[in-house]
Amino acid sequence: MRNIAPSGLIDYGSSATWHSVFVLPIVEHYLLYAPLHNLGAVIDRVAVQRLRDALSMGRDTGVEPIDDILATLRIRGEPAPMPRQGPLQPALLGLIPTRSCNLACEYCGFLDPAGANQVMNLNLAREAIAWYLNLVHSSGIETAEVHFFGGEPFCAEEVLDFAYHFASLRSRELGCAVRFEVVTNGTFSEERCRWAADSLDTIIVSLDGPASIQDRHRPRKDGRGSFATVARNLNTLSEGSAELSIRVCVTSETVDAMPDIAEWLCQSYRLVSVCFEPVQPTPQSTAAGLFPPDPWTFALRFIQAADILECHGVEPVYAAADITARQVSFCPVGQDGVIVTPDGTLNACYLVRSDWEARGLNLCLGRVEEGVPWFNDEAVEAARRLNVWNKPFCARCFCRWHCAGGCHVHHELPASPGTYDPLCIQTRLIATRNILNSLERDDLTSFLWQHPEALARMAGQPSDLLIDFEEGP
Amino acid sequence: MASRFLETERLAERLDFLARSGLREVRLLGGEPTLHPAFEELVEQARSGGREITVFSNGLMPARALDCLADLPVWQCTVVVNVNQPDESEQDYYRQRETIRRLGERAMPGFTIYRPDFEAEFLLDLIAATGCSPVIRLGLAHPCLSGANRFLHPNQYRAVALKIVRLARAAAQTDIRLDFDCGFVRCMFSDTELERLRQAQAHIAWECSPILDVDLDGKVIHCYPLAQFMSLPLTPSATTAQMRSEFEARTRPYRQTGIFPQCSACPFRAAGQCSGGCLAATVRRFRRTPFQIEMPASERGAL
Amino acid sequence: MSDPGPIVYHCAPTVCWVKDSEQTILVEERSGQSWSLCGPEAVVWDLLVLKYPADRIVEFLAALLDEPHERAQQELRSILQRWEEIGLLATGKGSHGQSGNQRRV
Repeated sequence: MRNIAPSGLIDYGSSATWHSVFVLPIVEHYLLYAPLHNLGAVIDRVAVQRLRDALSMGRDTGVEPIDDILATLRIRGEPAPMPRQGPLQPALLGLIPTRSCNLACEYCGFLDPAGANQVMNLNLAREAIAWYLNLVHSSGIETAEVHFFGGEPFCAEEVLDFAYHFASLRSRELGCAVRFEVVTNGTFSEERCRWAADSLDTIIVSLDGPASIQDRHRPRKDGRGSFATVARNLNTLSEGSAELSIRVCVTSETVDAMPDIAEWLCQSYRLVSVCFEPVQPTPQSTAAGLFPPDPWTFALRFIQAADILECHGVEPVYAAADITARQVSFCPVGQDGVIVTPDGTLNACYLVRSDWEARGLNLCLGRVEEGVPWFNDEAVEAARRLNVWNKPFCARCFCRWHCAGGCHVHHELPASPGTYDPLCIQTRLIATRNILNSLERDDLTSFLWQHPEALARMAGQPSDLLIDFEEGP
Repeated sequence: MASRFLETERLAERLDFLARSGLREVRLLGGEPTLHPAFEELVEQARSGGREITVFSNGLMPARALDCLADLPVWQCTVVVNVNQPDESEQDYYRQRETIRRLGERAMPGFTIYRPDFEAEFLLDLIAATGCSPVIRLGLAHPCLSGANRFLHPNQYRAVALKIVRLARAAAQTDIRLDFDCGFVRCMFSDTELERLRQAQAHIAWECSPILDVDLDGKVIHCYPLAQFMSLPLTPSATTAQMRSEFEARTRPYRQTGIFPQCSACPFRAAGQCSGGCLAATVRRFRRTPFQIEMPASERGAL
Repeated sequence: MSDPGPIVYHCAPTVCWVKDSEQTILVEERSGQSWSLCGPEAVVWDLLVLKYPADRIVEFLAALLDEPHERAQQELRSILQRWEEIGLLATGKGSHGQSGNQRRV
C-alpha cells in the first residue's frame, strides 16, 4: 500500500500521479479521471490496462492516443491541495448577526437556546471586520469575502447594514475589494429586498419549491406560510444586480419533484444557480415526518434537474459534487474560515456549538476580547487537521479533492473501503454525471442509468484508483 | 392620437432628414412595417434616387409586400427577418422560411435572444436551405423602461455567451458569420472565447449609441427600448449628427455606470473597449426613492 | 428666542440614484446634473433610503468612523446642508404633517 499521507508527496511526481488518477467503469466503457491534471477521457478496458502498466513501468505504449494521455499525466498537474500552514489566512469572514429567525422550519436544527435572541454588538462586527480586512490587505489578497449567516441575518438588519458599510469604507481605505454574500430565508420587506438586490453580490435564498412544499417545510413562527413573501421578493431580486441563487432542501416526499422545481424556478426567476441538498436529519425533521431522500433517487432527480437548469443557463449545484473544486476541506473548516457569532466567539463552522460538540469536535478558534480577536493556535491547527488527507476512507475515491469527505460534523465516514453511505453514493453518482457532462458525454450518463447493475458497480467500486484497477473478467 | 400607420406624405420629412444628414440608407421598422396599407408606396418613395432600404420584419408579411420586396434589386434591398425558434411556433417558422426563400439574398436572418435556453443552430440549416445572405444578425433582447417586455437580464449574459461562441464556431464551418447588434458587453466573453469568435469571423462590437428612430408622431428617439425615456422633435433643420450629439449629452449622466455595478470601475470601459451595455438596462438600475429626514435645529444641541 | 424647530429634508422627486461597486451615482433628471457619492456621504444616502432616523444615522456614523457623537452629528448636518444647497434635498421647517424617517430600530 502506498503512503497517501501528505508526507507521501515528498516523491511528488510519482505519488501524486498515482494517487490522483482514477478510473470508473461506465457499462462497457471506462472514464479516466485525473482532476489534478484537468484530464478526463472515455476509454476502453484495454486502454485502461495499458495505461496502468505504462504508468507503473514508466514507458510509452506505442499507441498514440494512450501515449498522449500518458504525456499529460507525466507533466505535473496542479499541486495536490494541501492543508493550510502558517499564520491564519481566512478564506472568508462569516458574520452571524443573530441566531434568531422569523421562520419555524420543520427540519431546522439551528436551535441554540442559549443565544437564540442574541444580536451581535456593532462594535464586535466592527472589530472582526477590521481585523479580517487588515489581514486580507497585508496578505495581498485582492478581494475580501464577507458572508452573512443566521438564524436569519435580516432579523438583525442594523448589524448587516453596519457591517456592510464598515467593510465597504474600510476596504476602500485599504484599496481592496470586498464581496458580500448572504444566506437568507427571503422573507424581508420590499424595501429591504431592493436594498439587498442593489447592494450585495450574492444572495442565496432558501426556497424548497412551490407553495405546497415551501409552506409545509418553512412556515412562519405564527404558522402562516412563507411562500408568498419569498416569491414576491424573488421577483424583485431577479431584477437586481446581485447574483441570485436558490437553495432547495429535498426530502423523500419532494425528491421526485426536483425536475419540476428546476423548470418552475427557471421559468419564474432569473437565477445564477440552484443548489439541491438532501434534508439533514434532525430530531425536528424526524418529528415532522421529513426524511432524507433515497440517494439513488436523489442523484437521478438531480441529474434530470441539472439538465433542465443547464438548458436555461443556470448552474446546478450539489456542493459535494462540484468537480471544479480542488480542496482539502468541504467547508470553511480547514480553510481557515472564521465565523463570528453574536456572543463574540470565533468559530471555524457556522453550525451551532452543540452540533459539533456532539461529534466530539471543538471548532471554536478563539474569541473577540476587549476589542481584539484572539485565536487559540492549537484550535486553529486542530481545525486544519480536519482535512481529507486525514480521512483514509476517501483516499481511493475520485471525489476526494471535490467533496473532501463532506461535512465534518454531519458526515460520519464509513469504516471500511467501498461501504459507501448515502451521502457518498449520491456524491459519486452526481460527480460522475458532472464529469461526463464536462466531456460533453451526457449520452453516457443516460446509458449508465439504463444499466442498474453497471451503475451500482460504478457507485460501489471500493477503489477508483487506476493503480488498483483489476483485470476482471 | 397618433395614426397606427405612417401617413405616406410624412415620409418625405424623414427622407429630407436623412438627406440633410448625408445618409443614403432608409430603415423601415415597426411594429411590422410590411403591414402598412401603402407599404409598396413607402418602399418606392424610400428607394427613389437610388437609396438603399433595409426592412426589419418578422417575415409574416402580406403577399403583396413580399412581391414588392422580392422584385427589388439585391443591392438596394435588405430584409432582416427576425426568426423565431421553430419550437415556439412551427407554423410561423414555416412562413418565415418561405419568405426568406423567396427573398433570397435580400434576406438576412435575425435572431433575438430573450431567454438563456435559446437554440439558434437551426438558422444554419435555414440559410443553407433558402440561399439567403450567409450572415446571422444576432441581438440581445433589451428591456424597455417598464420592463414589461421579455428581455435578457445582464446576469444571464454569461450563460448566453457560451452558446453564442458555440453557434459562431458551427456557423464558421459553413462560411456563415454572425453580426452582432447593440448592447453586447466585453466581460460576457472570456479572452479565449473572444479569440474563438474572431477566428469565426464574428463581427462583434460593444456599442450602445443613439441609432435614432423616428416614430409615427415625428419624434426622434434614441432607440426603441428608450422610447419612453426621452425624445426630440424632428425639426426642419435637424440632422442625425445634431440629434446624436443632443442624446449623448442628455444620457451622459447615466453613462457613468453601466448594466453592472462594476461597470463604473471596469478597465474595458475606461479604455473605451466597452460601452457598459444597453443604456435602457442601465437606466432601469436607477431608483427613485422618496424619503425625508427630520434634523433638530443646530441650536438644540444633541439629538 | 423662539425654538427654531426641526428641519425636515425631503429628497427632491426628480433625483434618481444607483449604487455601484465603488460609488453611489445621483442624477437630477431635469437639469442632467450628477454627483458621485463615496465614503460617509454614500453611507448617509444609503441609510436615508432605508428610512433610518437621524439619531440612528448619527450613531452609525460615530461607530463607523470611530469619532465622537457630536462630530458625527455635525458631519450629518453638514452633509444634509450641502445636499440642500446643490438641490438634492429640499427643506421645510417642522413636520409638515408627516414625520421623518420612522424606521423601526
